[in-house]
This record gives sequence, C-alpha cells and structure tokens, in this order.
Amino acid sequence: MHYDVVVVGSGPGGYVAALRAMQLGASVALVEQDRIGGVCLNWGCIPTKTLIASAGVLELVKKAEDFGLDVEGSVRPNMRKIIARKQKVIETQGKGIQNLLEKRGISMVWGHATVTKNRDIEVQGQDGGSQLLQWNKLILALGSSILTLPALPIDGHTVITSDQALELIEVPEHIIIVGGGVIGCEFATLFARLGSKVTVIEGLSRLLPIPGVDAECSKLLGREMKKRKIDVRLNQTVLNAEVNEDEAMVHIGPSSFHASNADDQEKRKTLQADKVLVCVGRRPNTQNFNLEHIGVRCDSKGWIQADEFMCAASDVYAVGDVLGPQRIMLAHVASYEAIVAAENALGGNHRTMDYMHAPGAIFTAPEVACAGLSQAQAEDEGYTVRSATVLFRSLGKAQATGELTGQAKIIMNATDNRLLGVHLVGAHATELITQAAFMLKMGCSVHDVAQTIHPHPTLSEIMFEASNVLIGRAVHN
Amino acid sequence: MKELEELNLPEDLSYSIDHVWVQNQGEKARLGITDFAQDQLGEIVFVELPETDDAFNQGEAFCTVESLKTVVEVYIPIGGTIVTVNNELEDSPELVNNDPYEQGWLVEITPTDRAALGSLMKKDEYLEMLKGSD
Repeated sequence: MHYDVVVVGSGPGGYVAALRAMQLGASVALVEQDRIGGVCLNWGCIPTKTLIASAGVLELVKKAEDFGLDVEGSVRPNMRKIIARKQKVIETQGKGIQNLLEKRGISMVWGHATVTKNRDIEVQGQDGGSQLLQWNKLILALGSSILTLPALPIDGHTVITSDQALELIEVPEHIIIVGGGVIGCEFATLFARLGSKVTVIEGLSRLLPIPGVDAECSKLLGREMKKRKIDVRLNQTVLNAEVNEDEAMVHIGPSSFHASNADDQEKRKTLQADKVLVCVGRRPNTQNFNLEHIGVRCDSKGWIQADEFMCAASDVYAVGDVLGPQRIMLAHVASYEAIVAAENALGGNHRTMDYMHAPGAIFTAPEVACAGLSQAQAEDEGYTVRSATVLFRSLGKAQATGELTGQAKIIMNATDNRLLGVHLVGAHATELITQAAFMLKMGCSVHDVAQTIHPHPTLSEIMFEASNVLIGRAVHN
Repeated sequence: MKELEELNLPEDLSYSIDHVWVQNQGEKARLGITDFAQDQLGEIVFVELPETDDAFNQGEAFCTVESLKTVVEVYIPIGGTIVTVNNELEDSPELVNNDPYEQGWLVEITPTDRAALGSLMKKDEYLEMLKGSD
C-alpha cells in the first residue's frame, strides 16, 4: 500500500501527527507494535494520574474530620480495585483514540516496523505476516523505554520498573525509589499517600534536578516529602544490592556526581525494603529500526537528531520522546511537535517548534509546575533577574479548602519588566500553569499580569499577588 | 497577638535580632524561637529541622517554620554545628507555640566561637528592640 504519510508510533506524538496529516488531506497509515496511546496512555501520564487520584481521595477521607465530617469505619487502599479502575480509564481512552483514527480514515497497521532503503516500511505482525507500506513522508514517533541500572537488575518482583509499579496488587511496606526525577518523585508521594514507607535515592544534589525546574521548587518538594516522612537521600547512588523474592538489601554510597570521597566506606549505608523501584531515565526506541537506511542521525545515546522543523532527514520527521531530553520529553510537547511535523511534511518546512514556553507539569503531592526560565537559567542567559514569591496560604481560597502548601515564584527581566518564568508548587499547580504559559507566549510584562482582574476566591489570584509584589504594588503581601 | 508586656522572656536566655533565643549550656547551646516570634507566626503546623552534624555560619537559615498563615526561615544567631535536634517537633510542632522555651526548643549546637554568645542581647535589650519596632 502507498500512503502520503506513514506515522510510526501511536503515542501522543504519533496519533496527533496522523490526525493532523489527515486533516490536511493526506492518506495516512499509523503503525503501532504495542498498545494504542503509547507510554502516555498505557504506562505514563494517564495510569499514574488515576492512581494518584485514588491516593488523593484516600487522603481526603483521612482528613475528613478536619473539615467537620464524622466518618465511621476505616478506609484503606484496595490495590486490585485501584488497578482495575486505572485499566478501565486506559481502555476507555484507548478506544476513544482508536475510534477517532478509524472515523477519520486513518489505516491502523499493527506490528513492528523497520525501514528499507526504498521508502518502504516493513511491518511484521504478531501473527507472523508482514506488510509493506510505501511513504512519501515519514513521521517517526518511536517513543522511549525504561532505562535500567547494571547495579540493580530488574527481576519484576522485588526490583521493578515504573511500568510494573503500576500493576502492584499490594501496597509495599517499604519501597526504595532509585531516582529523584519526575517519575521517581511522583511515585514517592503516591506510595507515601497509599501508606508505604518510602526512601528516595538521588545521585544529584536536589530532587527534580531539571534545569527548567527552579531550585526553590525542589527545596519545597523536599520539605513536603519530609512532612510525609519520606526519607530523601541526595548525592547518593546505588552501589549494589542483594535481592530475593521478599526483600532487597540495597547498598548506597556517595554518588560520583558528588565531590566528596566516593570511596569513603563509612559513608556507605545499607537499606532494606520489600520493593525497589528503578526510575533512572529513558532510552530511545530506535533499535532494529534501520534508521541509517533513511539517513536519520542519532546522538551517542541513540536519540534522533531533528532540526527546528522537526525534520530528521529528507522527507522524514521525528517527534516526541525519541528526540531525547534535549527536546523535553513530555506528552504535550510531543503532540505539539506532531502538529508542526505534519504541517511541515505536507506544506513544506515553514513552521518551527517553540520549546521556550512549554510548561512542565509534575504530579507530586503537592504538584509542581513550571513555565519559562528558572532563576538559574535566567541568570545564565544574562538577564537582570528579579523575582517574587507568594505563598498559597496567603490566599483565602487556600485557607477555605485547606490546601495551604506551596508558593508561586515569578521571575522577570528587571530591564523591561518582561515575564521570564513562573514556578508553582501547590494544589492544582499543573492547572494554574497554563495562564503562565500563555502570558510567556504572548511576551507579557509583569504589569500585564498585575493589571488583569483575577477571580476571587481562587488559587489563580497568586499570579496577581506575585506580579504586584514584583512591581511594588502589592496590597496584601 | 500578645501585648509586649504579656510576652514571656526568661532572664537567663540571650536573644537575637531575628527572634531566636539561645541558652548557654557550657559546651553546647540550645536554640529556639522566642515567645514573640511564635505569637507572630500563629498556629505552627510544621518545623523543618536540620540534620545533626550540619554546620552553619552565623546568619544562615538553619530551620524552616510553617504556620497556618506563613512560612519563615529561622536564622542562626551564632555559627555552630548541630549536635541534637528536637525530634518531638516532627509530630508535635505545636510545642513551639505552647512551650517555646522548654519542650519547643529547636536544636542544640556546639558554637564555632563561644565568644559570639556575648554579642547577643539580654532580655531587656531584646524587649527594647521590640518596643522600637512596635
């Protein structure tokens, strides 16, 4: 079969690229070897949020008394039911995407794809059969998989991946989470809320060690983890572990990222847990794809290199996780890249991808959300930085709902008052960040924010307060 | 809020401009926040304490106190190394409100320079400072 556009991978990059290409009048085939929706729908964004939602309800019921409610009996998580609910949400969403694709006339092709030199893609189905798809334009949304640690082999029972953590039918008594990045921190607060004792081991000097996340967010999240009695070990790395069916003894020591004596025996510790969750990063799904046949280049770690038009080679585009951490590995970024790629594939390279204003949304408890530059990034870029921080607990809405935790930090360029970044920690931060992303995209000044009437009583008032603090016109703070 | 004359300010303690009290215990010194500070903060809901062996220079933040209405960093009035922290505060931060000088102490330190204790204020000087800023 011949198609104007063949898209490989049906995650939030791939399926959106297919839909946009179809809208633009192309004949489109979408190849998927596993589940529709990719990591986002099946092992990432959506399943983690359903589990987090269960943990949130559990926490609310436990706090019912604080809100004047008498609750009789006990409440505890039933992981089988929580997992079943998660699965139902995934299936509903998956069917929704599949119906949408079918209705629009996109051909779904199931199986593992490899490219040949002749603008063909061979798709090997699970039934052993294969199909050849010819393309004018190819969009690669191959995605990423879990990266593991040689010192800590995954056995799927005691030492597990984040995929397997989504299938646990019992709440672990003590879970060690290796990696204090986004995935590690989300699971840390999730399991702590479900009742596990949690230890987080992070090799760098802060949680969420991501340039776009302001250091103050990491510090605040660390304090919130202390409140939840999560044991956070920074600058530490796993040396090795003894693992059996019931438990793991994990030996940790100063990480090589840390300047101190890494060989200092005294600084080594042994931690015991019934589960160890490895969250140390992702790797590209480019193996066995024969990218070299179509002139696509990868970096030393295998991430595909694409230009600002999302173009990876002549008539070949790449979007999403497979571009690696340099391009921000987030579902909503992938979907936007997909639109840019599809439009360029069919209309000539005319749209460029703007990563500058891509918001980050981290579903810890409390949530962390960032848009624009962190203070360190802004200083590195040579701006004259001024920032203001306002606490959520200063707002009436936060007091009314009991969601006191957290703050908003607004960063501006003092020479022209232009907004440079917004960093939120607190309830609904991931919803509130959209306003900031929009303002950054529009190039707003802090005065624009300070002169926008924000509804009362809402948590969004924090943007109004913080911007007024920055320009010295705050009434409350 | 308490009136100044209602404040409990023990005679045998020293006080810093940042509302931290210091009790000289010989080798060690015990630190906490003053009755004035806890009263200003209101209901305290969490105290983030440092780790033992953490070292701080004079004026550095060594502790964070969260109340229902605000979050403040507490600055160490004399440099030193943390020897003991008050673990009771982990589950009972309200001790800082109820008993700021006894059960609500924060940390014990070994001062880097014991002479620095002499730079702190006595009760009357601290009270004068509060009157001045009132």
